Amino acid sequence: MSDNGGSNAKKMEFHRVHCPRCGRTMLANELAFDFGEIINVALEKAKNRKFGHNEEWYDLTNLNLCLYLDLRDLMTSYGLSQAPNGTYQGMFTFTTKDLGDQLLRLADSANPNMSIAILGSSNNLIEYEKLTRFMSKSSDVDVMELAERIQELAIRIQKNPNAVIASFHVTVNLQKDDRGNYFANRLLIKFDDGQLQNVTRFICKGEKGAPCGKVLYGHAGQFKEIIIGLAGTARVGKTAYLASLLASILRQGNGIQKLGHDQNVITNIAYVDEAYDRFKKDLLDPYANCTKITKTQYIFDKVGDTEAISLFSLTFAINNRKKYIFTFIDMPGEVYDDGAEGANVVINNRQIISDASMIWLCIAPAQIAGGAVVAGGDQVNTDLGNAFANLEKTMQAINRSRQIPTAVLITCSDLIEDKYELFDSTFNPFASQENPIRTMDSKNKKTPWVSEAGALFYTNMEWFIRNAFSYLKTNPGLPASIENIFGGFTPFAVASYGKQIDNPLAVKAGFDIPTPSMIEGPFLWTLGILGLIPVCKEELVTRTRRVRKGLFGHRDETYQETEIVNVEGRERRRLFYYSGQED
Amino acid sequence: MQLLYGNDGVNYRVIDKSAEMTDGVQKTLLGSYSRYDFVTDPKVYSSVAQEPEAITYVSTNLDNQLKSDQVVVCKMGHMRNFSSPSYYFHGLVKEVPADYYKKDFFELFGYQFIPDVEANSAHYSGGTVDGYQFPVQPVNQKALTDEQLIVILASFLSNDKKGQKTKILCDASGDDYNRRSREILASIYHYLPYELRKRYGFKSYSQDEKNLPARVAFVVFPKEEVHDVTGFVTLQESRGDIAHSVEREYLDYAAYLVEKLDDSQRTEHFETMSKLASNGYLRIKDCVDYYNNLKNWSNGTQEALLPDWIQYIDQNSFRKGPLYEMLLKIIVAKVDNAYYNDYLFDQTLRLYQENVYNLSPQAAKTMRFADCLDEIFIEPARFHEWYQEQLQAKINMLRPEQKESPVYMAGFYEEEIRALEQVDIMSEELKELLQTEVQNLRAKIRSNAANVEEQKDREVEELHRQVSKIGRVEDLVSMVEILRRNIQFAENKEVLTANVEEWLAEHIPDRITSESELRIWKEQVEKLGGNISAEMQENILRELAREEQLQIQARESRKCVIRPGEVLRSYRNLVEYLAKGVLQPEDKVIAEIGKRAPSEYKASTMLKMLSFILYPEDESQGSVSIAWKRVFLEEKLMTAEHAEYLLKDPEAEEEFVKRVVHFFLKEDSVRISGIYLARLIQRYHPELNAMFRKLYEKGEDEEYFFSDELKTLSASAPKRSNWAYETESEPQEDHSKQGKKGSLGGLFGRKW
Repeated sequence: MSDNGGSNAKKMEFHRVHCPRCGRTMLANELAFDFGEIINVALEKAKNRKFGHNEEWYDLTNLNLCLYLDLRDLMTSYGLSQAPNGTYQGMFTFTTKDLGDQLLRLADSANPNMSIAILGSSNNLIEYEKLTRFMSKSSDVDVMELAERIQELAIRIQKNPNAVIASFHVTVNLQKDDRGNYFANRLLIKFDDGQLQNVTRFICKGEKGAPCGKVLYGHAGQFKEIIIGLAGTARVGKTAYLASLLASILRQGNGIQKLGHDQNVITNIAYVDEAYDRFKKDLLDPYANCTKITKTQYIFDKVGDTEAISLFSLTFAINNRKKYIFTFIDMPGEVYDDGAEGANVVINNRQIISDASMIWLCIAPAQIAGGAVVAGGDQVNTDLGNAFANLEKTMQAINRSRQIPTAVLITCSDLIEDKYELFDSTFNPFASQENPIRTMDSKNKKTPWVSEAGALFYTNMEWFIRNAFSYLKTNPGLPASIENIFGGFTPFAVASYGKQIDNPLAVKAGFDIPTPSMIEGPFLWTLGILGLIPVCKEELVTRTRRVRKGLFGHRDETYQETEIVNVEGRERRRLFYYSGQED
Repeated sequence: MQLLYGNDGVNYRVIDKSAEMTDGVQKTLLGSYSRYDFVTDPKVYSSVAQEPEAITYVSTNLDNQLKSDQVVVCKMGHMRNFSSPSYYFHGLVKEVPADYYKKDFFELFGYQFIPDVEANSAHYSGGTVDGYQFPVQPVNQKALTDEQLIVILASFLSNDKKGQKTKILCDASGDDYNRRSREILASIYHYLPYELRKRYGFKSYSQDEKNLPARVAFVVFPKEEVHDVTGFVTLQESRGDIAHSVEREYLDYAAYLVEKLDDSQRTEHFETMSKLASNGYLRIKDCVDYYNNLKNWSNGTQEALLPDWIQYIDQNSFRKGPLYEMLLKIIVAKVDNAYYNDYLFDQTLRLYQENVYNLSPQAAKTMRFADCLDEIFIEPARFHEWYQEQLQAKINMLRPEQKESPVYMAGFYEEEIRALEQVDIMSEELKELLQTEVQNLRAKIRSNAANVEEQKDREVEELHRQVSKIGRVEDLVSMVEILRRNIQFAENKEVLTANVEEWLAEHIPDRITSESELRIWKEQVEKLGGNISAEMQENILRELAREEQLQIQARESRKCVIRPGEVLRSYRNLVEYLAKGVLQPEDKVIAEIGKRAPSEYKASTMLKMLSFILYPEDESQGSVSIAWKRVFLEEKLMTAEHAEYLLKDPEAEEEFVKRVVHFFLKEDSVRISGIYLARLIQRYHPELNAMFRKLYEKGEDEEYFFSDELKTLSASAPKRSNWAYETESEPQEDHSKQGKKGSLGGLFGRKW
């Protein structure tokens, strides 16, 4: 697992955090907090208590100050210092001068003499383009009106030099990441009415002249982030697969088995916030109710907190030991269907996608076998030639300096002919007392993949991969086409729902439970090849033994024996790629 | 132009659009207005077709994609055709005449959009959507009670100030939602002035409370999707319920619009409001101000309203506009300058003890008020008086000598000018007044300058007088320091130096004999550094050092130690100092004799005594008194050699002779031969011979003293004056004969 963003080389470095909005990669100690919001709260409080002197600044709450400050900013510009208990503390006083400085920073003027006086003189200046863009709180704002507000602010700053707009006490608490580095993780704000507020939302600061403000995942910086990108054309079931996998890990919904529950292979400790709630509402709940998940919207521009690509992060503890943040990038299929636009979207998100540890390429059976289109139902783009051309364009837009391990997920495995034996919703890949890893002799398709100790038994899984590969080969050119774009890959077949739910005429009332099949496969394989769980396999070894021959003689005899060996280092990398060669 | 967008079975795609629609318009339309939230519980609706349609209306230039604001009306809805929940979007962008918002506007509440089942390429392609005509179904515009309307409108006016949307919970649900939400919105817009109808858009269905487009002000929510109704208008509230969260002026204005005006009056009011709009832009605040202020202000007095006017002018002078001009006229007609100035100086500046260098926002506003009204000005005389009070207070804080110093005051005024020039509250009038004060201060500095020369000369004289007044050297440094500190003109520092040098030249004595005096001089001259030339200081200190050297020598010379081992050095020094003239024979020297306390003697006496100790045959012999000789014996300073000279002293009496004999024979001092001593007694004090013989007849010395040899010798002793020398050689000659009986060589064992 040497090929993982290179971050392993420097053990003591802070974890890298990706901003999914502006694409910036930052270290954990560069995570910022939105002080504009805190100032708004302070102003709101002041207004409620009719503190006249703040009234004047109350309409600041209508503007986005983009005041994203990290610990270093708080120390250098606002005088916070370390207290004996290790936290950083101080009074945060926001004056008209600070506001003026922030306006000038946002204006990011090319004119070195730009001043608040100039900003106050007219709102026809080029600087207002940036000011209105950054300070607007929502889309399609009336730019003229906003510019007028900002100009008025500039005038008011001049009229009230050195006035205090808001003042509150800040304590910055530090958090230790799993490498032992401390970074600012939480703020405790004490307002002048004595009330306390915890601020836990990390913000991406963005760059100079381009503040970002994206709220980052709550565990960001604490653990190593593993990015998994989903590829595939529209309607192949990328989102449904994610939903089924995550529902199973999170044990969401009635009757859904928790993935490796008894073995504690994967334990969910996801950070619950608004993004999690949205993920649950949009993804998990419909899946658990066996209804179709809303078609992922391909949003052209940012509206509020919604991004051009849908992305969510969850924290899992693997084998009850190390914790990782798994970030799933679920790009809408259109990105792959629409070559030019798709490449654009990818370019905007190049950094995070090119840092992906793994790509899961989803293909529907209809695309392999040539599709029977379901009447009235959602249709898959079966023009695979065109789809792959677009996929190629999109993947080229990611400036990949390395090959990203790829799993090919054949979705809707319940639609595949039985002879491939790829659909089995009763299969439990986790070994337990009732479900032991059987010996070679009794091995069959029900043999678990994961030992009771939490190691991936690749040999057992290989049986399934082999079958998936033979199914993929029913479209003879397909493996080569995929390899051409993604390099070597390993195929799996999954069924997210395990049943036909495409019928628009179905009665709404009839709630059902999904019966997924083999959805654990790609994820376990991913954990294995990324080195997050141990991997072992059977190997046939040839040995010699001496046997008695007749009354007095002996004879050497060779025999073969199967042994279980750990797969490590270079050997493990070979598993990236299933060659398709029959043993 | 129109846009039709939705799921084509595979992807979300533009199904059709008007030919003139640019990519930019399309992108902004979809980016800002195409968000659709699928219902959480479809069972509430009889079919997908009955699920809420999200109709959005705004007037916008679509992020500057259009040259001017146009009406955008669009609908998002759930598509029935696909099992994966997917939505479609049908939007209209159209230019409207200026009076559109008066009446025609309401047709958009009744627009019927393309049904979802027709939102596909089979129905629309190649721009044919552009020809779609919106059927209009009439919508009830009076579907809310007055109370509901007042609550909604007042909340809206207040929310707008806070930058918040007005969120309304629809009081109908299920299949009724779409009709009712249109009704509610139409009823609200019925009571909005035309320009506000244009400026504030709506969305008829949403679940998201946060991410709504900026121009959407009214949003209707189905109650099934809202779990916390905080911040929502539920249509159940009365105006009393919202009185705590909505300002009174907004409630009043909403009530005015809904209750007090009938339809024709309202139209008239809206027409008036249109006149208040500048560039078609009517501010809510202007509407409310117009309603609340116009009547009050027309009937009010400056005594009651000046603070309000000051506030209003300060907030609105930057933008002006028709209402501002209208209200300004009222204010101008009612405020007189004298009252304004009373208010400014007495009720603001003096009452709150404002200071000109750091004016409070309230004071600054009150001053800026004069800038905005041509007829009103800050009276310069009053301002001058107020400013002078503050300046004088500052001057009163100074020390008397600072006040009297023209140089200090010049700096003080310069500093004051700098402080005044930094005052900037964006008031031209104040700036001019302060400029006048600055001119005054500059004049003061100039008139000060004329006095300076005269003052300088006076200072020179004063320095001379003060320095020459110094009587004692002890006071020199402290006095000079005081003078230097108080010098006002830097150039006079040299004058002080010259004066000090002069004083020194006059006062320093030729010789300083007293050590303490010398120390004072040295100390003072050293501390003077900087107040006299380095050269002079060096010269004086050198002279003082020489004097000090002499004093050290003299001090040493006056000390004479007479102790075994130190007599020769003392003698040498004394001889040297007498020769050099450091000491005169009559000068007193201090003698430390043995263990005795030091006491003073004449140098000549001391010399005699020292030479007697060192060399008893010296001429001084005989001039050393018996008393001294006793002392020398006492202190064990005498050697064998002295025995003869002690005994031959003509003044030596029996008692003294006894003392001498005792010294040599009995005390543990110098060993001397008893025979030798007997001879000396025989020679100089024969009369005592018998006494001694008797005295020592018995005792341990007996044998020694009265030996046969002594008897013989005493009988035939030659009478020679320098007998001692002869006897000295004699015993040496027959040394072998005498054996151990005595050795004169051993007698001089003591070293000087």
